[in-house]
Amino acid sequence: MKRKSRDCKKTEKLFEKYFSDELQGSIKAEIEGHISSCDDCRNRALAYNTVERTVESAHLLPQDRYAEKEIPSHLKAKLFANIEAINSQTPPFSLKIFLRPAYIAIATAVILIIPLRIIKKPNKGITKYYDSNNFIADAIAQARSINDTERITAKTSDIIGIAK
Amino acid sequence: MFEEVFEKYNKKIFSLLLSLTKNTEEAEDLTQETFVKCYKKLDRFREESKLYTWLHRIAINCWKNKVRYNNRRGIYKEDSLDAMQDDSVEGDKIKIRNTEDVSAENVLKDLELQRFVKKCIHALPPKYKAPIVLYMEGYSIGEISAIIKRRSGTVKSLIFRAKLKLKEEIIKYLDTTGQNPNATD
Repeated sequence: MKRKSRDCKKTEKLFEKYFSDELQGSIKAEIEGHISSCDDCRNRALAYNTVERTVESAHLLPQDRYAEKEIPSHLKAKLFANIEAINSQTPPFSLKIFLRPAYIAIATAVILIIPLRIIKKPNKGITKYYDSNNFIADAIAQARSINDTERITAKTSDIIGIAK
Repeated sequence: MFEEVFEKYNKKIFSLLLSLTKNTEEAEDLTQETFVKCYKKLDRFREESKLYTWLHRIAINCWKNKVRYNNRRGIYKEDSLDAMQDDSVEGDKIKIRNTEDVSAENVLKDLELQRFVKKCIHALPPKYKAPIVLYMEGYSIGEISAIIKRRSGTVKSLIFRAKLKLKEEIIKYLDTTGQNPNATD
């Protein structure tokens, strides 16, 4: 296709008005004259008219045309059978249940509390470290001293009793 | 609830999917997929958009997924005979504009060009095909805008560009075949 001349560009701009019968008199005759003498513009005019008519006529067709495209009966039966099958299935386990607000709140609390406990762990309980052997030895010594004290107290009370 | 939705919209959805796929078997599968998805999600439908729009959006998305699937696997579906026959019926309904040019030869050539336009529409990329097919199915610009979630201006622009692509294809076709139905020889 050769390059568009000024007349071709002018003609192309007026296609819409020409095909909707808005042009009259000399300008209409001018367009028709150009179209009949220029092969490229004739093809462009034909393309314009065919596309616009095909698309716009289809758009303006009455809406009751859907009555002609009835859904096949086997498709309806198949679809409802499919839906029955979906209903009879047990719902598969889905992680989506964990997206409920209550679960999210619990998860957030756990995630926040654990690091805080690690950072601010109370250390009072471990300040005094006992070697296990020393601890047992201390405990035995303490027990003995208690026994000794009791024995001494008993002896003392005996002596006091004898003295009396 | 679901049965009401199905009874009300099944023809429209099937018809739209048939226009998009031009293949009865594929349109049936996609209709089924659309309504199964609708059934599964109906309880979560919050009426942010109309049910009508929502259902059409599901259908368009199912079709787009199918196109993507077919493209990835290099599957090309041949137009089924019934869909092509349907085209010719619709083509006959379109009136010939310039009544003075109505000759048997011109009418045949005109119908041939219209059929060629429909083949070209079928070959358009989904981005352009969805709005122009919806428009040709009688949906308003506002409805198309709600279905494909684009502004009205964008929808108009997509339809305009789709038409431009179709015109270019026809010009190429006329240049290669060298035919001119309006020639008075």
